[in-house]
Formats: sequence, structure tokens, C-alpha cells
Amino acid sequence: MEAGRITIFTGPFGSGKTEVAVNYALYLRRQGQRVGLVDLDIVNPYFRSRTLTRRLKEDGIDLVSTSPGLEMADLPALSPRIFSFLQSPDHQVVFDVGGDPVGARVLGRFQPYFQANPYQLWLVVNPYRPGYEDPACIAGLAREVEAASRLKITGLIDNSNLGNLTDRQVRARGALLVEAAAGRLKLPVVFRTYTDEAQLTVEQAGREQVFPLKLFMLPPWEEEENWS
Amino acid sequence: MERVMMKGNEALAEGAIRAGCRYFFGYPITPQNEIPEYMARRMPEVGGVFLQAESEVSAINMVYGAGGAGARVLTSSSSPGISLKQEGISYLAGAQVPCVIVNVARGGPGLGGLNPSQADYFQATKGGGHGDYRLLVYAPGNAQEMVDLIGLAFDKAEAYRNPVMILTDAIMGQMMEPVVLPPLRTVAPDQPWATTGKRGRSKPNIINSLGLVGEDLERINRELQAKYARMAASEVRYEADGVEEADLVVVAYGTTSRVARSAIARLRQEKKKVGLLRPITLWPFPQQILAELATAGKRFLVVEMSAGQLVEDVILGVNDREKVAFFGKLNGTVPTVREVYDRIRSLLSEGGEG
Repeated sequence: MEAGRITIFTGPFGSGKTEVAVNYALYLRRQGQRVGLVDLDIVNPYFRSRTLTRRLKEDGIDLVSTSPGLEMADLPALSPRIFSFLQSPDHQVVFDVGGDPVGARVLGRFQPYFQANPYQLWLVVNPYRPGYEDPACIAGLAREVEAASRLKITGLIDNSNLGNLTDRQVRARGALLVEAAAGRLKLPVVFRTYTDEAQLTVEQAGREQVFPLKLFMLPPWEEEENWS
Repeated sequence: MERVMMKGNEALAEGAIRAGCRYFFGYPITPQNEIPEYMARRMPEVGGVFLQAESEVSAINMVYGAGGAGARVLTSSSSPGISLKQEGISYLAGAQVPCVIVNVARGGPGLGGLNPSQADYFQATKGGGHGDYRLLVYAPGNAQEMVDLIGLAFDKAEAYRNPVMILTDAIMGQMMEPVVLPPLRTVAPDQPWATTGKRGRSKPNIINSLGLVGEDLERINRELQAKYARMAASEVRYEADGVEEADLVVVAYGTTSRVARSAIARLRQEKKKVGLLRPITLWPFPQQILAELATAGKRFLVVEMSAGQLVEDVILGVNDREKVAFFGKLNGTVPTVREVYDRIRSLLSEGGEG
């Protein structure tokens, strides 16, 4: 599903970009790639991938966000180490971008690198988020993200979910809405996420590109505990 | 009913609009920025007013104006911003102006940090501003309650002519959960006491908190206290889960109640008798049920993200310090499920139930 060595996850606020980006970075790592994950979320200081820095390090993934000590600040500060990833030809670079066009604007900073390197810019969509149940709204947001980032979106990621209430019906209905948005934009649905195989229909499990998600951005009361 | 995924902050904002709120005045501060952001987009769609004031002090006084005219009005902020609003909140209480104030609390004191905190409990429940006054204070336990309780908050604010506060925190505001939204209500601002012109009455309505003559202030305060007594008698809300058969009752609200619930679920698998008492109103506080459980011989563990604030009300209700244990975290980290589990286990074994 990937062509270039730069993959950028963008999308509406709260659509699940961080979960998808972290899982995708881990997926690339499992393929034996050198992976750099860039947390470019300067919109909202909560549930960002930088909270996983230590855990991702154990998995061999370098995470870059802001200057050390400022991880929990709401400052729009970027680390110069982002450039070292972009300049290293043997690195797969995954960008986890902040929500909405306002979050995508910061991508413009790296424009020369995106022109020189093949990239994929994927829009993560959850049509169960208010305002995005309408494919026309998803398409409209896509255009705004493109205008703000000065990049072209190359595909959609179907991250339809209702949290713990996600079942096969929820996924099936979401898939239709994301498909309709992709049709309007004349773009492919790159993959559909799932957290449990029971959420997939027979067709999805068999034919379509599906991508398993392990959730990391959990509230404290759902976090895994060491009970030993 | 259609379900949608909403952040706690968004659920509060949309819940307010569904409840007929058409005026929002605020000033940005993390971690509640989704509320003004949402209102800026949404209010024009429903013919409402979103206004970013030049300060929190200004915003709360705009609330005084709109509320005095009988409108359903909301302001939101986070801890340092709520401190700035305290003078205005005291005036709103004194002048008996209905309104809803949201505090998505972060760590303090001072500028503090952006992590979740429950250290604004005293400020919310004991009067953060001057004078003898009370706010009705709701503490939602999930995104659905954000929607439901803010709707109730507007109704109660009007019913009692009193400011109502929603006290929540950074994690509750930022986490995302499925919610069902109620239908959109439109409430005409039509209050007999509102300052909207005399309309044929001989005397003008006056919204004021001034009582220069001693006997006047005495009378005003007696009326306020009588109103607070009525609120205390009818507005207590709580959730009691397995408290009757429990050896130990955990008392927690908001974020810590969620952590406690996960720990309790695990303990119950191990056949331990542990209950959860979750105050939904922080004022009025569920003293009665605590007194009854104490009489029935229960012991208590209070879990909160502060140095110990809620625990004082629990001790008052239980009326026996020896029966109340405390586990607090200080404005930076949320207690983990494991930590709460371990604390409960050790309390049970001390009591011979482990």
C-alpha cells in the first residue's frame, strides 16, 4: 500500500490519526524498515503520540516531537531532528499531523522535502464524528487540508468507529460513507481499520485491504496494567 | 437515536446548545479550548451568540448581563481562568442570576500545568468568591453525562435562579466516547424577574447584589440560605454501585471514579466485596447515604487527584475519621488502576476481609 518513504496522516480533529499513525509506524518496523515517527500535532496537547516515546523506542521506532521537557506544553515548537529523518534516505518517515486544516498548515514548513521525495498523504476519516457523517463534508475538509498544507491527498483511511460500541454494523455503515467520500474525491480507500475481527464482514476480511489497530491512546482507566 | 463519537468538551458544548443555550462568552485556555472552538462554529448555525471576550473577568460579567435578561448563557474556562471569574460568580450568586459555568480543571496552584486535576473541589463547592453562597455543582462521569448534566444544569439554574457549575477535568474533557444527543430545544428567554422592560408592570425589575442597609443584607442572606436549603433537600445525586453488600466503599467522582471502577471490577472477579459511591452533585453533597453506610459498618476509601478535598466532605458525612482512608495524587498524574487496586487490597486485609 506504500510507494514513497514519507507517509503523512492528516484528517479532522479526533478522527484517530494518532492511533493509525502509531500502528502504521509499528507495521513498517515489523517489515524490517528504519522508522521515524514525527508527532507534528501542535493543535492539542492531549493524547498525542509523544506520550508513547519510551514504549516506541523499545520497538525500535524513533519519535520526534518538540524539545525535551516541552512534551506536555501547548507550544507550537518543532524539533530540528525532524529534518534529520527527512534527509536520511534509508528512513521511512511517518507524520502524525494535528487535526483539521489548522493542524495541516504546519506541513508547509517541509514543502521542499515533499517535492523532492515521493510521499503519500492519507486522510483519516471517522464518519461517526459529528459533522462528518456527510460524504460532502469529508470531501470539503479534504480540499481545505490540501489548501492549508499545499499538498495533494492521495488516499483515504476508513477509521469508522464508535469506540467500545463498534461492531460489524457500525463498520459496514461507516465503510459506505467513507467509500462515498472517496468517490467524490476520486481517491482510493487505502485501508479500513479494525480493532477486533468480529467487526469485519466476510467480504472485508476476504477481499478488502484491512488494517488491525492496537489502541494506545487509552484513558487511564482502560490502560493495560502489569498484574504480576 | 443516532450515536456519535464526541470528546467530553464537545459533548458539553453541543449539550448546552441542545438545552437551549444561545449565548456563550469565554476566553481561551487549555484544556477547554474545544468548547469555545465548537461554539464559534455552532452558535451562528442556531442563531446564537459566540463572543470571545478580552478576559475571563469580562466574560463572566457578560454572563451577568445575558443571564439578567433571562437568557440561557454559558461560560467555560479552566482552573486559573475560573479563579479570575470568582468575583463575577459571587455577584451572580448574590443577584440570583441563572447561568452555567464549566470548569475543565487542570493542575494548580498558580499557572500549574495542563494535566488533569481535582484540586478545584474546594473552590467549586465551598464558595471560591466572597460571601455566603452556594453553587449547584455537577461532576459528570462520562461523555453522555456531559450532555445530560449540562442540560439539567440549565433547567436547575433557572428553577433556582442560581449559577450552576460543571466541574470536570482535562482527561474527561479530552477523552472521546459515543453519545446520544437529545433533540434541539429552543427556550424563549421569558422570566418574570428578568430586566427586559416593565411591560405594563408598575415597578421595574432590578438585578442587583447590593444590600447597604444592614437589615436588607440580613434578609437577602436569609432568603439565599432558604434557597440553598431547598436545593440541598432536593438536588442530591449520586450513583451507588454494590455499596449495600460491600465491606469497603470507594468514594470518587469524574476521572478517579472511572479508575476506581476498573479496579473494583477486577476485585469483584476475586470475590472481594467492594462498592463505589460516585457523587454526581458535589454540592449538595450526598451526606445522607454516607451516614447510612457508615451506620451499617462500612469502611471508606476516597480516591481523588488532590491533596485531600473531597475527603473532608466524606468525613463529615461518615462522621468517623477512623473509617475513612484517603488516596490522593497531586495535580500531575492520574492514579493507575493498579495503584487503586493495591490500596483497596491492603485496606481489605487490614480489616481482616482480604
